[in-house]
Formats: sequence, structure tokens, C-alpha cells
Amino acid sequence: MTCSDRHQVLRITPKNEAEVILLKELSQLEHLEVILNHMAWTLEIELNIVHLISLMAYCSSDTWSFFAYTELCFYMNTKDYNVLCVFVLFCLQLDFWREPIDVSLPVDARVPFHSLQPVRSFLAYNEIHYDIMIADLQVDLLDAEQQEMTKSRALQPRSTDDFNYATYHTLSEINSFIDALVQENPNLVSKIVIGQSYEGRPLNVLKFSTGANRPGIWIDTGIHSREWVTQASGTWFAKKIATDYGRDAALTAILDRFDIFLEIVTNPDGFQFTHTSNRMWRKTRKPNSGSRCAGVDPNRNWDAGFGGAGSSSNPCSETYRGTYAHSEPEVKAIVDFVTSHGNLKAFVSIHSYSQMLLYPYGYTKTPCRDQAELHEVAQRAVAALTSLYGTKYAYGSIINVIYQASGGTIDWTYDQGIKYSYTFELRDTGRYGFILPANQIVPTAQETWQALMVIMDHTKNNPY
Amino acid sequence: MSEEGLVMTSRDLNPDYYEARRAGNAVQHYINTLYGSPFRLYSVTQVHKARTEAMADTGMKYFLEFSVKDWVGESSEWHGSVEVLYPRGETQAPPQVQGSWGGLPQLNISAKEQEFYQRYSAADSSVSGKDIPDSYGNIDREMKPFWHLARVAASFVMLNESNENTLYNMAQVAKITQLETQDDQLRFDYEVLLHNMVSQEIIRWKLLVSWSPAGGVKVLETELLPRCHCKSPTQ
Repeated sequence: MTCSDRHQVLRITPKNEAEVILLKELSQLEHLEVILNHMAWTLEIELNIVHLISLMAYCSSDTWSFFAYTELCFYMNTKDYNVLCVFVLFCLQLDFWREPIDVSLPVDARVPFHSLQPVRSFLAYNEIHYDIMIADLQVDLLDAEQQEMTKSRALQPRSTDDFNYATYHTLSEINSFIDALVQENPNLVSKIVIGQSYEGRPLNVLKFSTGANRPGIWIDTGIHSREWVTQASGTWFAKKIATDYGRDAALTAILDRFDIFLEIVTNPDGFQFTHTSNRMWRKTRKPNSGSRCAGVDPNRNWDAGFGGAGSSSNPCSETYRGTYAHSEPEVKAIVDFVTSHGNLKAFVSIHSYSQMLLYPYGYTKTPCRDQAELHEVAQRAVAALTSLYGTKYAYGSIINVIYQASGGTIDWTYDQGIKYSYTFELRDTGRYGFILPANQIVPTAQETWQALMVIMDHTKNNPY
Repeated sequence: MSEEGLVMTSRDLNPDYYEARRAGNAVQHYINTLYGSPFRLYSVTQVHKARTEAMADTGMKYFLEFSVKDWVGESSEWHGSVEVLYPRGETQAPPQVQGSWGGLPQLNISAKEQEFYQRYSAADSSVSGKDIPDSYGNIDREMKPFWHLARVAASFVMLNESNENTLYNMAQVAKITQLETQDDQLRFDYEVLLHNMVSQEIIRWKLLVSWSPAGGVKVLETELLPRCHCKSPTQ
């Protein structure tokens, strides 16, 4: 027989010392060696694992000497339970993601399906309460790296200091991070829900503010859901801002004059879809009537050259513009926010990949009125970015550097009067593309931050 | 002064802007079809100078000066120059690339290739895999040469599909299955996802690929696969 590769993850919160001790005993079973008893083999006894519970309940803790072989399962049967307490071998394969430490501190145990009944019976017998954290976890036991990913994903950090910025996270982890950051920095950070996605998910924006009635700077990441390094960088930026206020002179000076608004998951429906179904999904998830294809390109849906060349009228296209400008709730929410705020002075929308810093326009070759200034700021921002790790960036207007694109975000924000409107295309240039290895998240975020600081600093020093 | 039958309009291009980038991208694919291997892949790192000339009868010609390097072997950068002619016409036809590649860095990979070949030409060898890299950018060390091989094979398709309105990269290997070795060539069935930056589309191709140290990479068959209209898990 083979050991199962499907698991449940149970969360057990011990109510008292006795439970902590029992759980510690259970956790001893995690790191074990085989002890084969000759008698057991000659007797050829077989044990049905389902009956394990009665054995565990029967044996008192000092005769309880369960050992588990981590790679093989042995079934043994006998009428003599006392013998079994000593001789039993089985494949429990528990994996404690959070060890039992103390009363009220949760314990997380990954339990293979075949061990569920004995473990749950053990807990029930001892009246230890547990919750099922993950009901069905497929784990390839040979893939250590995948296990680590799953493990670190399920461990909700106790604080944003524990959050792993060097890995990709799920939507719920990022939302938990957002709440934690607000909780830890109540005088600086608040959360604004600017609307709801098509599928009803909150559109969360972090507001960093040190005073009332300030002009604002907007940063968004993840408008295209497959561009995972952007949401990951967004979480890093959030932590960076909260950490650097009061410590870094330049950032403090900016926050003493401006509010910073940061939307990390600008397209949550799409983001969820990249986790569950299609890693390469770009658009929103709104169905298109009369078509089998869903979704609108949220970066072609803005009212700036809407419907022109550089977007598609075909719902199946990745650059489908939608039936009318601002048709997507994810876009409309930002439009409404910008309009009602009325005092944003910089707007940065972050994408990947290509390594570019771009300014308007995308929909027309006509240079924008502030082209010279935007170009000069971009030059300095890119120089600052490159100074960190040597990453090369191109810069210029969207239509010159990358392609004609109509209905784009920063064309609209610029035409609303937000002069310092920029779009980034982060790492890389095509080697990994959208699937950038996680070890590049933090370097990418760090170098991008240098460029953002140049833009924000210039915004502060050049009021308009 | 213009010659009879030939109108020459030469235009200098900004080497960072999209026309030069797309041409450089086609050159990259071209170089990889010639010299790519499971242990060698080239990337055009920068275009330094670019110029176009409309060739009235034949098409649009680009003249590029560029840098390229082998990023698998981590070679030094080589500075080269090349001509790329995108043909006129309604149907897609690959650009014609002309350059001299004698100076291209070609690190010695024969030992690695031989070892790899010996290992996977065993009668019972049946490599298979999917989603390389995975969603998080991870690639098993052992699968890397197969990923490189897919990129070389994809380069043939990407070159064939290139025109002035495309910029292709291979986004992911969806599937790889090893087939029986034939005529001393390792053979693989690949399903690859290509990303066209200009349309933003993800295009699926099925490729039948053969390789050996002596034979190099050959793409025996290609098949464009229909788009995956993946449904979201409902309820």
C-alpha cells in the first residue's frame, strides 16, 4: 500500500496545560526513527490503522511508545493490545507547521488522509477542540519546494514583520496583510474600500496620512492580474512606507505634505483566477453578453481615446476595451475616487514585464504638454532605479516605447489634470516574463522604490 | 538622387523605442534557431543604433547595431550588426535576417551536451513534465535543459510568426513528453505558451522536437492549438 498524498490541515488551540502536553506527545511522532521489533515480524501481526484510536486511548502515556516510519506503512493486527502498544508501527506522517508551545497558541498539523481518523479520534477522546484549516491539500511528497510554498502560505503571519515579502501570496493573505498593517499603524495607515469587483470582492486601498486635507499620490499594482511581481511589490511598498515614516527623511517629508494611496490588488477577481484556474489571466472576470469569452482589459477601459486604435472590440481579445468607458467596476471605482478626491498630484500605475518607465500618451502620437518635464523626471527615476542592481530600463511615452494603446489609465489621469502620471513595466524582459521567480520580488521592489521616490520627491518640490 | 524603380526612405530610429525593440527581438529568435541548445541561449540585451529603409518592392529593412550574450553559459556580451528585412505581403512570412556570426560567443558545451544526451537516450527514458516554470517561477534543476530546449524550439515558431507588429517571448512550457529516440535523435512532444507583447495574447503551440549534440535542435512538426477558454470554478 502507499501512503496518501492528500492531507488535511487541522488547527488545534490547547485550552490548558494538559492539552499542550498531549499535543506535544503527538508532535513527537513527527521526527522519528523506525524501531522494528523482531517479535512483531515473526508473529506477522497486522494492525488496521483505523483501530489506532482505541490503542492510543488505551495506552497510558508511559507505556505509550508509538514510533512511526516516515516512508513505509506497516499494517499489524493482534488481539493482544498490550503487545501492540509497544510494537505498533504505522505511517502517521504528521507534519507540524506550528508546534505546540503554550496554552492558547494555535497548533497547526498537516495530517495525511489515512491518519485522519486516528488523529481526530485521539483529539476527540481527549476533548481537544480543533478546526479544519485546509480540507483537502494535495501535496506531492517528493516536491519539497512546493511543500514549503504551501506551508508558508498557510501560516498566517502574526504581524507584518513576519510576513514573507520574498514569496508570492494569495488574495486572502494580502488582505490579511492589509488589515494587519492598519492594525499595527493606526496613526498612519487606514483602509478605504473604494468599491467592489464584479464578483463582489472589496477593492481595498491603503491610505497613508499624517494630516487632513492633503493632496494625494496614488500608486496601484495588479491591474493586470497575471503580473504577479506587481502585487508582490505593492505589499513591499506598503510595509516600506509604514516603516520609513519617521525614519527616512525624504519619505517623511513627502508624507508630511501628501497622502499616499496604494491599491495593491487592483483586479482581485482576475488575481483569484490566476491562482485557481489560469496563471496567464490578464483581464477582469466580467462575462461579456453574447460571447463565450469573459473579461475586459482594465487598461483599455478608461475614457481617454476610448475605442480608438490600440484596443480591441472583440471580447475574446486580451485588449478588449469593454462596451463603454468605465464599464468595469474595478475601473469605475478608481475613477470615482480620483474625481471625488479632486486633489491627486501624482498617479502611478504598475505593470510587468518589459522594464520601462512610461508617461502619456498611449492613444495618440501627439506629445503631451508636459512631455519635456515628464521625460526629465523619468530619466532621473530610471537612473536611481538602475543604480541599485544595474537593471536597465527604457523610458518615454507609451506610444513611442511600447505600442499604441487607447483607453489607458494614465492617459485619463493626465487629462484629468494629474500631471505626474506614470506607468511602470517591471522585471524582466522576457526570460521569465509574467512568471518571475520569487527571489526577484524584493530586488524588484527595492529598485522600483528608488524610482518612485524620485517621482514623489519631484511632485513635492513642484507644486501645481 | 533616387535610382530607377527603387524609392529609398531612410529613417533613424530611437534604439529604445518599439520598432527597434521588435526587430531586435526577431534577431534574438533567429540567432537561437542557429546556435541555441539545451545549454546555450542568446538574448539581445540592447539595441544601440537602428535605421529603417523602405524597400519599395521587397519590404521594410532594418539595420541594427546590438549587443547579445549567451545567458545560460553567462558569456560576455558581443556587439554585432545585422539587417532584418520584413517582407511585404498580406500573409505572414518570416523576416529575413542577415548577419555574420563568427564573433558570437560560443562557449564549449560539448561535455554537458554529451552527458545530457547519454542520460536521456537510454531506452527506458521517459521524461515528462508540465508548467515549467511553475506559477511561482520555479524550475527543477533537472528540467532546466528541457526548458532551454523548448525555448530554442519555440524560437523557430516565434521567428516564423514575427513581423513589425509582434514581439514574442516564450511564457511557459505547458507540457513536455519524451518520445522514443529515433535515428539517434532525442525526441520530445512539447506544448508551449508564447506571449505576444503587442497583442498581449497567449498562443499555444504543439511542437515535435528532435535534438542531439550532432544534429542540433530541429522542429519536425508544429501545430497551433485553440485558445483555452478556461472556466472559473463556479458555486
